[in-house]
Amino acid sequence: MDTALRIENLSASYDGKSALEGVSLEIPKNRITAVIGPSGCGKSTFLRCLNRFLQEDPGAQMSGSVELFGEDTAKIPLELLRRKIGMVFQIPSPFPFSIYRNMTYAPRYYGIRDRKKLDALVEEKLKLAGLYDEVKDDLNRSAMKLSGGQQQRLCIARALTVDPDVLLLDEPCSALDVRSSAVIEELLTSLKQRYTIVIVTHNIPQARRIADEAVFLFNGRLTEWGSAEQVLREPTQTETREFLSGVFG
Amino acid sequence: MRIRGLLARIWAGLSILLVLAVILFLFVFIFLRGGSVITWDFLSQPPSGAVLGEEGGILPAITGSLAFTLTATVLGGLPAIATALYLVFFCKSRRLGSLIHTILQCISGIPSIVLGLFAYSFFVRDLNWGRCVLSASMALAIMILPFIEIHAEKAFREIPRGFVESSQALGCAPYYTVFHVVLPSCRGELISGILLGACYAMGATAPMIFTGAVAFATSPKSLMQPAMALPLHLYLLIAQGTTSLDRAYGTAFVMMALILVSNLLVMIYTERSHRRWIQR
Repeated sequence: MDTALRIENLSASYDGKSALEGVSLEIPKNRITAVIGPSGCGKSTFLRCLNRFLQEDPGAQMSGSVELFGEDTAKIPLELLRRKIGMVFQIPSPFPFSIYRNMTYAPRYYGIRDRKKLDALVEEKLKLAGLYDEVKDDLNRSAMKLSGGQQQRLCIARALTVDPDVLLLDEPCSALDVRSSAVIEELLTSLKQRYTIVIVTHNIPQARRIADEAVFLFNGRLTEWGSAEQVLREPTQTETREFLSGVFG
Repeated sequence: MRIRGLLARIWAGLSILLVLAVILFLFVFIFLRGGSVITWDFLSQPPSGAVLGEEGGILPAITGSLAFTLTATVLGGLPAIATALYLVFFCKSRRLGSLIHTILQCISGIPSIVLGLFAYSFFVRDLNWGRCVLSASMALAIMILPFIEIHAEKAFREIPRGFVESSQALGCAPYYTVFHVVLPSCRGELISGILLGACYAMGATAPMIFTGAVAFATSPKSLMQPAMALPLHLYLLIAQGTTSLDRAYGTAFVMMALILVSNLLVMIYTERSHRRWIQR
């Protein structure tokens, strides 16, 4: 099994206060890795370290190394790194313009101006995100008029427009209803054929349904990681067991 | 609790009524006093008469005021928006941020007459620009800069964080995010902030007296020549006593109408362009 991301001794802090300590693990290619743990355990911080998003926060610092297919991410230019590792956030945040313009926002930045190419790209990525059939008749509609679930799928499709290798999702379903969540879960399962997916989730049943690998963080430390089957069903560590059985959350 | 709620509603309702009544009274009062002098000649002729302004119109004062306001808005608005952008999206040092805020507060606290004095000694005399539209506009620009900055900063801070983060997550450079997401998504608030600043500049007299506004001039053809301005003309007409009082009210009415109409035009434009922008 190829490794997409190799993380070694990763630590992070906000204004000197530690949020993540010495995390080392590997994230396999074309798999869904779920990052779970109680609130404030450093899940989102961990995710934000992978594409160096943490540096957008003035008070945040990170150390350790993250390798993407054997290449140190610290040495990859930021723009390229963000293209290779896409990110989708908890609250769906399409830009306040049309669906089409949302989809062509990044490709235009990266120099694609040809209308035919853009059209093809929009269609391909919307289809990948399972949204094309729902919006194809009116791509000029404001993205803000889509439902929450559609907006989140648009955000996933938009992240795919720059052809990333890895897709990071930070609790993408927490603001959605059960039905929309199910659609996204199905979508993620189909996307793993082409992309490596790392998803932070608070929803254990969801992790059980879609994850191949699972990572359990507790108080900023890595407690347990391995196949989802093992971590989520037969955990070896007490904290993981207690968390999964609802002793804390 | 119910009585308190009722009292609060009555208080709010009365306050709105009071504000509306004051504004309406102001307009009606000024229009009744000055409406009779507003003719096409009044709007299209330069002032004349044995005592200047007693006859003729206010055309050079209108064009002069527009020149002062436009120049000041460009000179003050651009750095104000740039400062707000820097503070909200680029400034990583909290100390530097609070230093800039303190400086802006200090600027906004400077009395306008002091700004006029500064502009007179620095631009008019030291830089030898003379009394001209540019010198006065610089003083006005300094005056409205913090005003526009506060409006712009507020507008930028209200943009959902997700817009900016999504753009960053796609690897887009900060300039792209600013020009393609930030500025368009708060265009309406920005324009209304700039317009309020422009109205503030249009009504100000003190910074212009020593620096560029004069009792009589033709419509300005260059930034390096002095011009007439509506507020100074208004002041001079009132100072002349009862002979020109009607014309003073007429001038005041034109000034208010100019501000009101430009506000309305900008509101319509903003609404339309926002709708077009979403569609593109």
